[in-house]
Amino acid sequence: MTAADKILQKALAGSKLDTAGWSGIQAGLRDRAFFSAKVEEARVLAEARRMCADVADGRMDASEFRRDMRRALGQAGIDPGDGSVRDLHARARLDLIMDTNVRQARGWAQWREATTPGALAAFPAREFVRVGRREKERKNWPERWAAAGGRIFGGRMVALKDDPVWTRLSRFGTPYPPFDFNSGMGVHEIGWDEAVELGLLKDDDPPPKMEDRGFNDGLSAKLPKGSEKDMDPFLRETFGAQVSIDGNNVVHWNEHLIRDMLDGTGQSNAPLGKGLYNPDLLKAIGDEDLRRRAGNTGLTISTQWMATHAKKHVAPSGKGGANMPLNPGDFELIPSLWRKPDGVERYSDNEITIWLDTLDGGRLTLGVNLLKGSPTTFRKQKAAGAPSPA
Amino acid sequence: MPDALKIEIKEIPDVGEILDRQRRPMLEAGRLALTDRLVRNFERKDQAGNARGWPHSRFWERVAGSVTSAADGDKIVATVTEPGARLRWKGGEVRPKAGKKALAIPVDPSVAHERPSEYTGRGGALFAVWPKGKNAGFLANRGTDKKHARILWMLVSKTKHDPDPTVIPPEDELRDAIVRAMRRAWRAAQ
Repeated sequence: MTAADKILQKALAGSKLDTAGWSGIQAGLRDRAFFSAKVEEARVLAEARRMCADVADGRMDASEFRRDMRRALGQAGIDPGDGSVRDLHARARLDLIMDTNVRQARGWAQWREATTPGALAAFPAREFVRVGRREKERKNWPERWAAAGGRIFGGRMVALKDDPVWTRLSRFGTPYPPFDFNSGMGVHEIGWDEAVELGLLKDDDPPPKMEDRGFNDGLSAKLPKGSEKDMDPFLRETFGAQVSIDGNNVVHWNEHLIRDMLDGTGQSNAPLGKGLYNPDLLKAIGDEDLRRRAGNTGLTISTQWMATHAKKHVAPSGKGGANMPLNPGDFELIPSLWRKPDGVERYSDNEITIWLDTLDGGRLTLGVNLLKGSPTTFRKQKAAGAPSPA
Repeated sequence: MPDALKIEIKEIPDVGEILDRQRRPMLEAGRLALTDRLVRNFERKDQAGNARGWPHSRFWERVAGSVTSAADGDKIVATVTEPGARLRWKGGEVRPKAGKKALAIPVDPSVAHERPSEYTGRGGALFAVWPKGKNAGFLANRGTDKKHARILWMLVSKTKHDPDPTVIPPEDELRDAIVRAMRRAWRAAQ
């Protein structure tokens, strides 16, 4: 898997959380998500994710990223703000989004290379060093290193690769760079002989074994024992239909469940949890009973339903209809569509139609049977057309 | 010879199998040694900063972050995905992409590392001037009048870049680092 693949693999996670809020999300869950502080719009995140992958692969440069992201933000109706880092149009914010995601993915790719058995046998440790100049360099890294349990050897911050200092040191909870926003700090490999000389291990010690800590497979998204009851409402409130928790208390991004179902590797059902939570949207449904059900119904996607609609590449219809072909990315947007649609319409006594405009000029429309908690139709039309009844 | 004595010892370790088992960790170690050498070299180049005193682009830092290596038969191949590294190493000529008339080179620090399309995309207005008979022009921002316009980009039909052999360490140095790492991995496998 390349750095670009790593980025594309992340689930879109729209929410109201700010940076501090995201810091409180468990690292294992956060690592699997593509997000930006206070960005709820899944389609904006989808564009940012795609472009970050292009940057990681060298197909796009920073100026093109900023230019195209501003275009996408405009299309999504997000206007420029005050020019600060909270303003999505601002250079500082866009560079932060691009930089952080690309560096994390590249850091991960180099970490994978650095923690194979052969790599660990020759280079069992890393040194934490400044690798890039910054106008304002944080000076308290040695203190942070020590607070994370790291030892200092003759002024050098060095540790074996399986030392928990690496994840504790990182603002993001990952054992590889970057360790903080715009930090300019990185790592150098430390060879076996040097590691022995520094006293990190003895010459006849076995190399570190990463499998014991599960780093190679990514971080666990299992909820700590006892926290499930508190975390559950918080996660549901924050992410709604984008997450689900399985019987082993492992949290899943539902986009991953849907992706696995499309690949044929996942389970047979993906429960997306309760739906429309936006009071303004619920008001659009005239009937009170239907309104209540729309807010309380859990939607479950089945493999069978997915397979039926995945095979159905809806071709442009001859009657002047404006259907666009569905692609896997459209299915992955279903949890975001369920969580925060752009609009809702009553279709029948038990059914509603919800829709989400995408940035490629399309409108995803999903019919939902609220009595059964199941989807009915799913299509993509050119956004200029009003959503036709399911 | 009909009367020869033969002694047969069975079930000795398969040498080929032993070498195959050691091959993979040795290559893993060699790959990482190459990546590490290149990363350190690129980071050293980043220390020089911007020659014009403009905002630091962190180009070499990004180059360092984009290095990965893979083993392929009897060779180890490092890949650097950050664009621009190859041009700086090998040198060469850069011409506009298909459909474009000129390359735009920023000459004002306010548009450092920015393309004209980004500038106009965020509401800036530009006008182009290409004097007749000249092989270069410029893009200037449209102020209240053309007298007070400011030149932001030079327009040129091509640029030429000298090679910089210091981008990559000498091959012998890289090979030595790879071999040392492979030897260490082989020792660990005994």
